[in-house]
Amino acid sequence: MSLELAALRRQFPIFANHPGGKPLHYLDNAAMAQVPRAVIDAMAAHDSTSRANVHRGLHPLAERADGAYDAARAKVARFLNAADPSEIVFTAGCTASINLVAQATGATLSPGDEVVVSRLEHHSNLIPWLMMAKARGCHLRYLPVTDDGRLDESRFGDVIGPRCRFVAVTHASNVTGAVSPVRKLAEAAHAVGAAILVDGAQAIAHGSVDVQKLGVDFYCFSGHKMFGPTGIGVLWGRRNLLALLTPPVTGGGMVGQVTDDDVTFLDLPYRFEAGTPPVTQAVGLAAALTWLGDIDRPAFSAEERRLTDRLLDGLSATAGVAIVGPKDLERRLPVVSFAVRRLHPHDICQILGERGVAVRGGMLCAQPLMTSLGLAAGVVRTSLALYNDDGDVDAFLIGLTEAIKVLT
Amino acid sequence: MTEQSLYQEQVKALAHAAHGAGRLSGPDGHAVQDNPLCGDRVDIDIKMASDGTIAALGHDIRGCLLCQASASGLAAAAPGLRPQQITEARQAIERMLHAVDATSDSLDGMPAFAAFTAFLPVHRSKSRHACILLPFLATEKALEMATGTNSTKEDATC
Repeated sequence: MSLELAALRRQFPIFANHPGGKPLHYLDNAAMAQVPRAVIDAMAAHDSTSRANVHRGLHPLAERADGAYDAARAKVARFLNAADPSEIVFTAGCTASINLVAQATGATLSPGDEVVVSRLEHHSNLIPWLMMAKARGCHLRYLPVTDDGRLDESRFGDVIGPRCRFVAVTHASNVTGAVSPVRKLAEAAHAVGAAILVDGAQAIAHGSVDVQKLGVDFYCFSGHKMFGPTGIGVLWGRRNLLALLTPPVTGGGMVGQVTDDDVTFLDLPYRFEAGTPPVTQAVGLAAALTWLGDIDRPAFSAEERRLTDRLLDGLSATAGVAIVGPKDLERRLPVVSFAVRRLHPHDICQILGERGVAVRGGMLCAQPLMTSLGLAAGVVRTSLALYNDDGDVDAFLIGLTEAIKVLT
Repeated sequence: MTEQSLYQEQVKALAHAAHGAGRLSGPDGHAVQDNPLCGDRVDIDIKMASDGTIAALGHDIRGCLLCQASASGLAAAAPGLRPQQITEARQAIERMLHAVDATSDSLDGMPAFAAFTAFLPVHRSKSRHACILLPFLATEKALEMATGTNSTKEDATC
């Protein structure tokens, strides 16, 4: 392990605490990344010195909270290269962001309209559209995947047709790790007059995202997958499109005038933030972005790719293992899933877990994808973050061999 | 592996024996039980004897080794038992899994289910308890159908 990586790893208290009484080899980052001390401290400091509800109070504490919350929004806007902070809506998570758009967009669709998703989608970017389509009498169409778990680009034109009004796709698969050709998808959507939402839950932790360059209309992600706190997500949307949507969730903090018979909503983004927003979590998310900006991210990303290559090589050399997804480093995240012949993913995860190796197994909230790939029991997934090292990969590969031995 | 491994030889042997594997033709009761945590699914068929005891239990398991072993052990134990004894066995196994002092005493006096003491180490892995209980829950619902105490058994969730 390089000195730089060792120093970076020390910033994460979880690795020093040895939960479970043994060194932690955390390879479940696609489900939730760990948080650095800087994020923990920022949230504790906010709650210790500035805790108050926002955009309601006039006392000094409330003003400090307002400032922290607004600064967090501006930080996220800069991180995504959004045109304006008012395009940033704080939500409870990526799932909540997608639901917001699905419900608000659904109100504008008519029976017979088409919504396009892909076979790669996490349930979070599938079920909201499925429910909306059923409620509105719309058709849900699926972009197919290739045998190696990528979106089949040759079919974009077939599926995104003239009746398509909305496209919702993942930036990168939480199962196969494949990165989607987002700009091509945006072009295909816009060519038929449809809007496009991209689920950035997985991609956001592994590189910079410029929403304007991507050419999409909505982009969503969660804090907990990018070294931030749980309970906060982001919805970015083009201001002109957000302004057309009626808030699906209403309540305090988002209204202008309320009478016995009517209500007017605040301007963007507040109209989409009914109720008390996740203030402390927003401060934590901003701290995570600051922390990411302070490290040599390209160098650590290069290390992630090297370790991903080691994972792919090690899995390819293990008898009975079939990698589910791309087998090379081209347009993929450090998310590597696999199946082991005749063994159930949960049994493998259990044994690895007892050895301090944390991985995820099962359907990964992607049942239609698993069905299309013929994986009735799902997969085992390893997912790296920039604090992982060779010791983590070694522990995983050794543990996997032992697990297979125990179970066969 | 230590004695406390979840995957003791008795458990693996039970799974590999696959007692009762496969669906029964013309069952008196049938139920499906899903585990929302992992997506596992258990299909259970029951045939009843004229004296009110279980004649045969068949299963189709999409699940882990623990679930397969549990279904296999249950299929081996069930013939000749009354429906209430399945419920009592499930409750005894729940007590074993939840016991703070990790004891299988709750299965004393249930010789048909003696093999289930091999699941004792699973008590420390709460997320895996459902793997063992899923076949029992499906069987209880199939028995309700077989005995006419309930008629809606499909797609129940544990």
